Amino acid sequence: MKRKLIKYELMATARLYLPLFLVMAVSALLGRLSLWQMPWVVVSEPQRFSVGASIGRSDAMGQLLGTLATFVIFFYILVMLGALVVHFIITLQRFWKSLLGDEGYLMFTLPVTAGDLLWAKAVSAFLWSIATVLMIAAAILILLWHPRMVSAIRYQLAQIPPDSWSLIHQMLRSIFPPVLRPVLVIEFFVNGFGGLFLLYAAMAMGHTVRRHKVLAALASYAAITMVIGTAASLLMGALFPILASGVSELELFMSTPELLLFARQMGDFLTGVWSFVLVADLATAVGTFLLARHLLTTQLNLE
Amino acid sequence: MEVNERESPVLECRQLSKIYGSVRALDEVDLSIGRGRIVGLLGPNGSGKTTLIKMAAGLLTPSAGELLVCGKAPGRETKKIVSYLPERTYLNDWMRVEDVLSLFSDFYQDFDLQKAREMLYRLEISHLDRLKTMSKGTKEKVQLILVMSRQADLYLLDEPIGGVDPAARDFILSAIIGNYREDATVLLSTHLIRDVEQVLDDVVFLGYGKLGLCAPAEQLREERGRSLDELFRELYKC
Repeated sequence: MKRKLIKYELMATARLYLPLFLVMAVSALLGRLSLWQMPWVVVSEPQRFSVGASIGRSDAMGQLLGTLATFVIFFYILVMLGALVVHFIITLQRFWKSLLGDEGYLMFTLPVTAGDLLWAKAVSAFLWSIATVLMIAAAILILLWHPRMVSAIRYQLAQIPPDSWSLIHQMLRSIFPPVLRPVLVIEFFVNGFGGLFLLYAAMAMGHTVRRHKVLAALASYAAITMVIGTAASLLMGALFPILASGVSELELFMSTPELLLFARQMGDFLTGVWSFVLVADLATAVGTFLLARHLLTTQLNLE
Repeated sequence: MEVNERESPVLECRQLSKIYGSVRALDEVDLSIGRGRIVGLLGPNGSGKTTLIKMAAGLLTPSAGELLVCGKAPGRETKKIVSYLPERTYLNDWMRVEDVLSLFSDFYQDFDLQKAREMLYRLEISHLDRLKTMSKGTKEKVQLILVMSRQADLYLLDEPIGGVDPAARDFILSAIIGNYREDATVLLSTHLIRDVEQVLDDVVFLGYGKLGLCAPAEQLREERGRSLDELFRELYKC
């Protein structure tokens, strides 16, 4: 049943997201067309790529034109990031309207559990989060892509001595040891779903109140995050000195062995910190899911 | 009180109460409804009819007491055997009739797709029509078709003839009579008693949250020497 619920939730939300993505793509294309019409926006030297600067003009007009181009780019990037706000609103609206509003009369009379409904909403919202972020990245790339960008990046990377590459590689391997990598991957999902369940629990709590349900949902959200934030801060405060005790101080001039030792210590430190974050987020996700499920099962009052 | 309980009751309320702030929407209701009956849940506005039906559908939780559907508290298992028609439009406006049919087919094992298509065809409602292009009455007909195309044990119909014209009322009543299983029960709430009187086997009067008369329709008519409509007007005279 969960799969069917997810399918219908994705169908219902696709009609909101697809037009949004279309608007983003068209805006990015229009932005690109207008931006690349301005001949002064790209620095032409092969070793340097810069958008928003003026070519070979250091006078006041050149600076003004460069600033103008920067503003155009900034505006379009703001529009793209606005998609995240729209995504957040859709996530809230889909839960509130389709479970706690009139559509709830259908959803809560289907032979499924409240847990199934929560999972369907969360999986759909999580997938759309990823799609929205990818779409923003794609739109920014459409806006700013230029063949010279790649050659400039290549040129800049080529300036790094080969020995340094090896050191960077070793340091990255030490800072992100094998044990930390799965922790980060799992944390990505746990954090995403935990955040959604927290929103759902707050809305379900708000809905138990007879009047001012939205206000009650906001207050519930503030209360839950305050409790979780305080508990996490206290625990982290106690744990941090223990985890940080094994890390030497970073100095300006360090030898290669010292740098590698520091990277290993940082790796251990980050593994400790992220493991704590994962446990805390897992507890939040499970706790808020159970709270929302309990409220939707035993306290449901669709009026 | 018991309404023609043959074997185990299909719907049972024990000391069932629902309280909203200082208002007792349902007040210690004891009721038992058996199988194979069309039961009219009658009462004036605000008498608790919708509250009782929504509790049986699992959309409201009791403040006190217990409600059982085929011996089980409302939940996933009871939703498999209860077909509920709310008093409002609850389908997504952007959906086509075909989408809604697919949804019901996917989720309800007892949904008879063929029967639904036939009923839609008779009413000249295209499966390609979008709900947002339909009138309120047509949407209500679609909802009723969906609900009555299930082979459920208990049909909960909340004001099914409330907001439609007399011709549509005839269709709705004939759809109810013609499409429910012999051993299934239909609990139908309304205050338009004259229109439904002839189809009811039993009646349950609900007034201001309290259970009133509860008996077979024919028996009441004979004992009181008047129609249910007249009896209702007498009982709940303003």
